[in-house]
Amino acid sequence: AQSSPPDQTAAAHATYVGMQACQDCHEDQFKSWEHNPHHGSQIDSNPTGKKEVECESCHGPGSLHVEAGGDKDNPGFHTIRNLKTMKADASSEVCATCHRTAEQFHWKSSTHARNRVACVDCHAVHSPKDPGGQLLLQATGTSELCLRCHTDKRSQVAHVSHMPVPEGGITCADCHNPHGSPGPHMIRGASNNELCESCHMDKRGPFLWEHPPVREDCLNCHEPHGSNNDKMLVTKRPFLCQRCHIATRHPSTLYDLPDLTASNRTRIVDRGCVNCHTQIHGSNHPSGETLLR
Amino acid sequence: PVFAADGEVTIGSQWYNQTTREPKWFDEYRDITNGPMIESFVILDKIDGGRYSLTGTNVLKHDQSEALMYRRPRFTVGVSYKEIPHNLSWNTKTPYARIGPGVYVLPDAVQRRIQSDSASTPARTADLQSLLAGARTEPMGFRTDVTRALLKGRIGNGLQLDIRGSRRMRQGDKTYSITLGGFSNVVEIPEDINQQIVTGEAKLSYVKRRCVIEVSGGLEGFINEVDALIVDNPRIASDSTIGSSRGRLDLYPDNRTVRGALRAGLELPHHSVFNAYAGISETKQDDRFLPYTINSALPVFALPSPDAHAKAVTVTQDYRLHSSPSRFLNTTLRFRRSDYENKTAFHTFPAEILYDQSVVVGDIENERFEYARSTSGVDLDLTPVSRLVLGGTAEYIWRTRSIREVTKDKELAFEGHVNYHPSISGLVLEGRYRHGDRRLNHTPIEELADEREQPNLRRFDVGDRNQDWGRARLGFQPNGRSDISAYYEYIRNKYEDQRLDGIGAIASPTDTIGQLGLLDETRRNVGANVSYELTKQITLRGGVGYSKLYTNQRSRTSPATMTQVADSTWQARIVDRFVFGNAAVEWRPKADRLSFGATWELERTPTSYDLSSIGLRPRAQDLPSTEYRRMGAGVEGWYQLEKGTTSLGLRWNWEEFHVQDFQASVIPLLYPAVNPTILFMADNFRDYRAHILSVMLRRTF
Repeated sequence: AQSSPPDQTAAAHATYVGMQACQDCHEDQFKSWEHNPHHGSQIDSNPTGKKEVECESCHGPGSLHVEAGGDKDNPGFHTIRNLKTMKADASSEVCATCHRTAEQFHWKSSTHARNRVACVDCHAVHSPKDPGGQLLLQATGTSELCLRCHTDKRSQVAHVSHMPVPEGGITCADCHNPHGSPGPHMIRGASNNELCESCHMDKRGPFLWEHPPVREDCLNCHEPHGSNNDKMLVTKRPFLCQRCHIATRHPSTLYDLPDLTASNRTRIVDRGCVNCHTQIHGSNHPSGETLLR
Repeated sequence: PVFAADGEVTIGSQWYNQTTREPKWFDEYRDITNGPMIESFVILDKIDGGRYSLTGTNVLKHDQSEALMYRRPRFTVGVSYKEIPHNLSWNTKTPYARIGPGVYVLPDAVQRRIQSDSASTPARTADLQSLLAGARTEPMGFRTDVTRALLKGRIGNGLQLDIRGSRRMRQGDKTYSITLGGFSNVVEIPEDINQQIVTGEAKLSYVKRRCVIEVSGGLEGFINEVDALIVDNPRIASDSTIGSSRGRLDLYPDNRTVRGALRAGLELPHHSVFNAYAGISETKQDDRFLPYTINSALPVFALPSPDAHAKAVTVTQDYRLHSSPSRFLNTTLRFRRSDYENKTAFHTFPAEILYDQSVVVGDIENERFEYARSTSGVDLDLTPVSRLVLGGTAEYIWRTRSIREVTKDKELAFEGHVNYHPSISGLVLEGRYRHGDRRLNHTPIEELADEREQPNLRRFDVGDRNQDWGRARLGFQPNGRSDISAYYEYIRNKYEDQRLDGIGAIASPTDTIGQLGLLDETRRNVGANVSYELTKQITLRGGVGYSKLYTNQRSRTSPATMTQVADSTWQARIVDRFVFGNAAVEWRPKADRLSFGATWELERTPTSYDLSSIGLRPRAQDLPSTEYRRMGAGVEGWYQLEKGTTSLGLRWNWEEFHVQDFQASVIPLLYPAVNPTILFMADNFRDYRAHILSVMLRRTF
């Protein structure tokens, strides 16, 4: 959807005519406009010079378009901005006239902008599909929208061990800001841990006894998009623990099939090592150095 | 009219049948009940010069969500509420009785009888079995209730205010465990969960022509109403120097955070923009220490401090200069740094008491773990012709950390991508490849020796790593009726220290320097999705996906005295596979009157464990393969009783689940049968088949 930019030369001569002039031809848009979040909003940077957002706030001055009277051969007809047919960066620039702070602050340097995703690729200003239309989404839900393009994640969130994304408990946008962020992978946090701990604040500590790889990056052990293993672990315990702990005695012991019928089973079934080292995320107990308490 | 709002409401009733009550997948995160339901509603209206929207789903259930948004010309107010269940098990059993928050007890007489039998393993086993025979079923699960509120508005010329707050309540229980005597006495008990997270944040933004400045500040608090888990020891009725009648485990301590951030954006000439972000947060944790032990027979040691005086400061900076000097060129220069500074006080403890039983006298001091991560990079995108985008990224990452064997490492990564829109209508081809080379900058042998670790262990998260990552994607929309997409992704992490033996098969028996730890991992993902509008009435959709994750790790069994002989080396090659398929059909035989939909999906997750060894256990035997499989199908039909206003719907869903997992589907209550060492809660996953039938009425107004 990156063709037919508005005729800029002719558009320079167009003037603002007000939204009543649009209603005669664009009746459908007016029907949905009634409950549109933009309806009635007052902004300080309105290019029309008015306070309230109107059609021309986004579509540009419409005098020549109105004068063309629907004649597509008239150069004036094409002076109106159609965000769907504009280049991604140009159409997003229109939205950024007002949406420049908070959620959209990092838009221009975001991965989506770099990959030429436009605001209107995800948002349907006139015909939103989300219930109530308050997010103006192109899909019935946030995650459904994201998974249209991120199809690999569609299968990942269907793993046996997964976040409640398919069930609607959380959405992709609870962890990622699709408009960009100062964190990696457009996450809503300065680091992976800051993001995870915003809900799992019990793991934030700081603890008396820390488990360093836990503190440094939750993703050392967990795969947040889903995995074959309990707790979305990247592999099964005890093998996960044994990637790093092969010191003397039990940490390095081979646990294989015979152990399923022997007393060593306590270290291989259920939570494996964490059956005893329960406080794997850190302990605040004076006797908790080995994370047993 | 009294009620002039626009909107829609869907109500109905639901019946379900499940062959075995098992929450995994079926209702792990949902509340599936019999009876009436308000599936969804939307109400939109005007009030007092503003507009509001009220939306909700599953109102009568415990996975409900509601949101109210009220918009005036210059401000918006919103509140929302959501319940997120996490059902873990319906069949767990415990002989323990909960007598207070986090306190679980057994009958004293039982404890005394088992203690008196301690000399006789068969008698003790019989007593434990007798105890478990009376164990009651106690379903495990918790629910998180999230309430959010926001107020945002344009408060002056260019000034915007955004205030948000949230409260997250988590209540319920989940299986936890505690050791009361090393490996020989472990019990699984419920963890009492009663936690609360409260957050508040305010942002003030100022927008003026080419400049945006934003200041924000916030407070966060975590409150755990259950400080400790106190559990009776099933084998010991009275405290002694060789055992404790109870164990006490410290649950997560309260913490609080203060944070602030400053963002600035400046539009520069030549279509350039500079964004800067600096944020700082301070987290404190000063929950009072528990005593060293709950065992009254052991000596009392003084605590060096009433609490940990734990404090951590996180400082994050992010600077980006983005420029599009011409329509052929986009560039971004960026730098990001995140510092986690641990300012927790040092404490010297005169002793440690392991599992409320074993006293280890000697000064033990806590350590401060802290780290920093910096990333600098440049992104360059060229558009030499209108249908082609060529891009590249060069990135340099360096990390520092304390108290681990690798205190510094650095990584140089290069990425290239191509995005091609051939002249064939609707076709998009994308390719992306990244190579990263992480190297640590000092040899960790001394630090590993201090930890009594094998000197040739290389921990994957801090060790040398070569990473190759590639992705290809195809999108094709030949006409307005069909949409085809396919992807392939490949990631390989090779954790090879060039100074040690290479990664490959098992090291030879005489080889003592073969690398240990995670050696390499490879992930492959492939998938395709198709959508096709067969006729105006019929649309077909489908997709398939397959992923394979291979990991290869090597370890070396060592007794109390460190040995470095290779003949105790073992290796595990684990392969996680995932197969995913889905299909759907939508049929609208009479437009605006009658519609049908049908779906089918399959998820299958087999994993294999290939174990091999030399020397110590030459006949290392593979663990049994595991598999989780779910298949679901559904049919839904809607008939419009009254055009544009009233519809009647019928929905049927079917789901079948199969599990085969030695770790999660065969957990006994007492294990092993001879000389048992652990009391489990039998948190087993089980097969099931389920049907859900729903009848619905939808009214649009």
